[in-house]
Amino acid sequence: MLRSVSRFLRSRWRVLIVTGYVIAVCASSLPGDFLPIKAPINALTARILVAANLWQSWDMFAPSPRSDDIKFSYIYQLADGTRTEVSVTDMVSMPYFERWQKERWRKFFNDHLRTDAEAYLWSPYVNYVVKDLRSKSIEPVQIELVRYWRAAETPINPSLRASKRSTPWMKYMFYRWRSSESQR
Amino acid sequence: MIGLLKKTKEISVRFNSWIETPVDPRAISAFRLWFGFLFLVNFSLLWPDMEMWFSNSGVLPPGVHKSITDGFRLNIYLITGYNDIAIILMKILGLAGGLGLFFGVFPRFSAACAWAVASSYSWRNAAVLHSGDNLIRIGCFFLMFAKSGQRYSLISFWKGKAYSKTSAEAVGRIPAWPQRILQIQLCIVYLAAGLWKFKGEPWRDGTAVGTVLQLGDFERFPIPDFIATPAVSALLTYFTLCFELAFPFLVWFAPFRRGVLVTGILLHAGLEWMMNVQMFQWVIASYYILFFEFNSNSKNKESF
Repeated sequence: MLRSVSRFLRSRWRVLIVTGYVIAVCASSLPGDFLPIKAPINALTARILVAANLWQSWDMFAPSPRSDDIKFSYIYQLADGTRTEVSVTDMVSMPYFERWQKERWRKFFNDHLRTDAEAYLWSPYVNYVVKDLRSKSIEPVQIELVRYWRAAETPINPSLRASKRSTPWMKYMFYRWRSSESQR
Repeated sequence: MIGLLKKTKEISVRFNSWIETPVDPRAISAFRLWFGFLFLVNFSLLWPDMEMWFSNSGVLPPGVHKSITDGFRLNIYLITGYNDIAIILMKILGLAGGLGLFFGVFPRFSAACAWAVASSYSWRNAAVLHSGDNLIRIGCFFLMFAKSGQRYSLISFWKGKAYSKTSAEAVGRIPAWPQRILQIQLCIVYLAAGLWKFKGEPWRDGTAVGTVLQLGDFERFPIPDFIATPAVSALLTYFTLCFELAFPFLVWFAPFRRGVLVTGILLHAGLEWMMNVQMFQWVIASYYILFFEFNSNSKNKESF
């Protein structure tokens, strides 16, 4: 019995790997409504996929694409009261290459740091900005993180594309840091 | 019932044979070359910001990263710990891996280096990943098991058989399973993407592409006005949905294969023009190479 199992494994290991991988990946990436046995398979295979860095998800623009334009800025204030706003992810205002190169910036700031759900990113980011400004001999006393948004108007119209429309932005300052000197 | 059992057995035998029968090395070799190039482009775009994304003094310091990460993952940080030397290692291994894949020098080792790098930065800051990174990581993993240096590599070039237009029998055959798994992987990408989209109201009512085209985050090169209209946007929405759901099934049938691949290339070229999504269109299109058949003198009807 053992010998025949071993012979089967030796002769069919490639087929077993392919089949196992397909089942594991389908269970991890297909929506549950279309694969009712997703949960039990995932319980067996998800850890292996994660450990081998084969985890994946393919829900780009799905189930519903976002319907807001978003951008993110920070404002730093100097001791003399001068305030400067630095736009970080106003993608449409960037030249084509920079917009393309900064795709990861859009991901990090617009999809993650901007949200309340990932508030744990705010303080480390401000610390990073402070270090960056100090390296340029700028000594900020206050930094504010600001998110902007405006709804994408429908129905679609050439004059309503982001680079052309003049819909006003909504604005919200969601985090403020003050230097210890300014707090005294 | 017996008929069904017979049919199941027949399908199983054909599937086994499809996985086990060695294949022409040219498809996976061409994939490795182009994939290596795309890895290098992706890595060079990441390079200037690596300290910001991944270093201990960057935007995601170790304390915060620890609090949001769980589960074991193989990556360079297992060796280095939270140490910025990992970034230097990533840079060295990334360059070596990308160049090795492109030139076909120690392709399995190069794929391992590239996979280690892609896995490490994916672990260290998952908030900066795009879908192209997923395909790169997965592609590198299975290239570790593929004999992809047989063609279109420096060594085969020196041996004078890099680009020879001979039959598959003459160039020798290699194990098929890594290529098969990557082919199926591409089909799963489309199937999952199509099914997730199908669940969304905007994809079913035809407004999804129009909405995305309105967003500044994704706006890229100028497009003709007629594309940004409700009718054309609905057409593009349903076309995308149908293509993603049909690809995984039609690509396996020889009479449809060329049409499906050409349609896919046009779709991704269009998306690359219209939408600012960094490397995804290029990387996913690179997987199409795995479906090419290079049998120049074959009588096989499946010849691409």
